[in-house]
Amino acid sequence: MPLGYLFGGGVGTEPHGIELYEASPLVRQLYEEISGYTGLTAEQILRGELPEGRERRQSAGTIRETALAIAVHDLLAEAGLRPDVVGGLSLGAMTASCLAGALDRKSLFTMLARTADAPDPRPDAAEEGMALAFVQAADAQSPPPWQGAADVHLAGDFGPVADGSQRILMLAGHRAAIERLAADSPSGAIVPLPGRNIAVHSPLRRPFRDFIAPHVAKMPFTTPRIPLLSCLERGELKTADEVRDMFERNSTDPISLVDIYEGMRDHDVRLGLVMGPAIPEGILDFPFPVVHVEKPEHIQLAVSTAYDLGIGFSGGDLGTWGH
Amino acid sequence: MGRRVGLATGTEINDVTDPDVLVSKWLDADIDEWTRTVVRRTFDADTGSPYWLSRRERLAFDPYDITRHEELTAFGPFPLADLRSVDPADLVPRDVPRPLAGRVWDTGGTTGTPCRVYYTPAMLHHRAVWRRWSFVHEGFAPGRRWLQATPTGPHLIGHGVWEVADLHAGLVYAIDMDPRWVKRLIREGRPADVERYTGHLVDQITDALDQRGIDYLNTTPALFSALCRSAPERVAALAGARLSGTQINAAMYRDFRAALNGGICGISYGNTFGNAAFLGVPESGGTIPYMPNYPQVTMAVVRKDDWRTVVAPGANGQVRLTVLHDDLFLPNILERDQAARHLDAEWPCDGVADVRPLQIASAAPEGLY
Repeated sequence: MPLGYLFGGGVGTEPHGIELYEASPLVRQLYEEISGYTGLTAEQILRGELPEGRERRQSAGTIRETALAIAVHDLLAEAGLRPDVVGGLSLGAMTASCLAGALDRKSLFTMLARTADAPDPRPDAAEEGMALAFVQAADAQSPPPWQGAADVHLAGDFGPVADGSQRILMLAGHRAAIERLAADSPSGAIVPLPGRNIAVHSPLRRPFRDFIAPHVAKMPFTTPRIPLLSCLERGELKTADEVRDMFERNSTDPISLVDIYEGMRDHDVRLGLVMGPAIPEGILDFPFPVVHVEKPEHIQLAVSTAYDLGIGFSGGDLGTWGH
Repeated sequence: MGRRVGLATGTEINDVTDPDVLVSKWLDADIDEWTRTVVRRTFDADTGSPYWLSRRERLAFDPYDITRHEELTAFGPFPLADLRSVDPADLVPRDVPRPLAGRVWDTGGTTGTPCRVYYTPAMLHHRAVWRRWSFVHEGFAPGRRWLQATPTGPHLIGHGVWEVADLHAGLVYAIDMDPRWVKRLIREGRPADVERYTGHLVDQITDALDQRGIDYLNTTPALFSALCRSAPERVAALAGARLSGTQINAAMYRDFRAALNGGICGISYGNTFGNAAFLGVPESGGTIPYMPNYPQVTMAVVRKDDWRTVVAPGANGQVRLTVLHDDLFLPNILERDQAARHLDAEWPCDGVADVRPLQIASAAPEGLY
């Protein structure tokens, strides 16, 4: 019975992973390795104040989120679970590629560290921003309020909420345009995201894409060992070149969680483990049971749920954890 | 609700012995009248439940003023922690002669002290009659050989051995499973030992299936899945399987039916406090509905952020269970499950469908990115 791992996107400023780090020698060892790849200390990765400068800050945040996601993966492996299919959104897509065997960890973290050198926007450039758009199910066929709006782009689709009443989409663009759109829309329909000052998954991210492209072109991608689902279109990334193409386009192209979980349903996934805090529990509607894993106690819950659902374990003990 | 057949007390109902007549009478009961009967018996100053009488002083209302089932929300969510500390006998009205003789059953306990409740013979009979009703409804024939491979000991599911034998003329073989040991192994990060213990159980099951001419297997979904993986030919040879204890979703049910290759697949939802019967799903598929063992057990699907408010039919929410036995009153147990509210024209109360572990929104949607 297939087990799917979903990795969320987005980069927050909050400390993440502290409880897992403190509870597990395995996680502490992992963070030491990541320190070696990135030049950041474990403390900086876990809870350090993110550095100044938009791209440096973003880079450190991506390292923090990716470290946590891989730590959760490793703890689940220690506890007997390994994914049969993986997929992720945005940054999570790159983490999923790594854990699917399409890219080694050192290469992934080296790339994330390198993005700190991406050029910041010119001082006179328009401020960027992001927003969530809540579309009522009854309005699904109507033109969305951002259609035709200058400097606002559809950046993502999270699909229907748990009760099916509305669908959550993500917008990116110029902050002023997004705030105008929010003010002109019904209350609560467009919600600007605080602290998100990079218009990811939109054409505004083109300079970053051009910066990282030469590095991505040299990265040692390989064929994924397990099914790896794209977040940029519906389908599986089956070759090293397809994974590289996803890395190249990831920063500018819209993302879709629906494409990932529908793909997992096509793979007959019976339990989805949502890795890290990027996709909060209880908001979205998934076509299979999910367990959200971000704290030590969630590891046990994930393993216990897998057992109850008849999902076999992957093998022998790798040590003890979480007594 | 509104159907009345003039049933004054639960005792009168339980005096009936024919299981089919009993179920028919239960389903015809007026839930409001039943509620008044149980609440007044529970709170009788002389013969009521010591536990509830001790709580009466702290209630802001007179329980005798409760006249309708929906007014039971006045009692608030039942504090399950009380069932870990109080004497189970104190839940039982003193009208039941002391000292009590019989069985105390556990629920939970995989991660700490279990909740404990005492079952009177009438309560055990109620459960058994509904189980038999399900057997008949699902197509399990009487007089067959069963293998029960479930938790036993303190777990009420183990009482199924007697239920099958006594009310469905079954010859029952049994294998014990210890779910607390499994959870402990998981907690200690010992997946290989979980697999080893599961293999130990599956070996016993296959041995019994090979040696004893078993028609029907009664077990948990997890063990049945393990058996399907390791011995599919033995599963396909079964005349049927009955599964309960943990969640069964539509995909699992579809798998189990396919593995049984035409054999019966019966399932139920519930726990030590109360159960709900499976009425079947359309051939075209869909979510799995369950209807409670009315009127002693009722279920409502309520808003996750407001346990007093029942959701619209078909909408999702948290499962709220109420137990109204003559000798056990447990109103408003908020289960750690969510479900869709299900209505069935043939059933006098709400049911639940698409049951799965409860998920509470842990952050605002803005946390999505």
